Amino acid sequence: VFDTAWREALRAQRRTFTHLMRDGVITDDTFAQLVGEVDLALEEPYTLKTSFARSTFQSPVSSLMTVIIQENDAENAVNMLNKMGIVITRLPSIGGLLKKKNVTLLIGVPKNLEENVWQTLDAICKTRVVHKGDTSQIEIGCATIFSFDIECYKEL
Amino acid sequence: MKKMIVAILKDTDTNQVSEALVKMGYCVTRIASTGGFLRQGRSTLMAGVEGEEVDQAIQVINDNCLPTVEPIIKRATIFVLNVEHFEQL
Repeated sequence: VFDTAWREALRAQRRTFTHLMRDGVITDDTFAQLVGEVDLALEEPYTLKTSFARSTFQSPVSSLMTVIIQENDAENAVNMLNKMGIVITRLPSIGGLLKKKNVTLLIGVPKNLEENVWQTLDAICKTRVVHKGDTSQIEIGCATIFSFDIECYKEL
Repeated sequence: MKKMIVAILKDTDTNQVSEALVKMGYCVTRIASTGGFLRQGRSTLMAGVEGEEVDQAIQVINDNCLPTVEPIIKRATIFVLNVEHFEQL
């Protein structure tokens, strides 16, 4: 049963990549690489170790991205990044200018997926125009990303 | 060189870990958060430590996290970052 579920999850992941490529979120090269990794995992027999999607990406986590996005985009962004096998911690936060709620994501990113994370966030998060007071309109940007090199990454 | 440890822990372990870290003399900031992958209750701790004390601090975190039932569910995720500049006002 676990094996079937695991394989089904991998196929779903594969379909997501297909959609991402069709929508122009990721390039053909990236698509080929990601799908290659999924196909490789599909050939492997099921073990507990492979049961987490992120285990299909062998590359170690190399940087910590602190991403601040609008609340409306958070759900989509988290779901999409999870489908890519990336683990996220979500923090509620408040922006300084409009005092509006937003979301801060802490994302541990493997070297080979950094570019994909940028592209995904860029595709999902939208620029919005909001009203401040009665007269002024302000355009709020899609995402603020700080990327830190990690000295050391550990999972206990 | 100063380092910042960002540790993501289970809610249930957070109290004990942060108390242990404070006892060691590290300043700890706690942020409520949710895990993205399984949506369980998770907390984020930020602690500033000296470079040579990083291993010791990680050991303290390790010692104060209870074992999980499922071995594939991690007890803690830890990032160690270099701090370019540190100041307390």
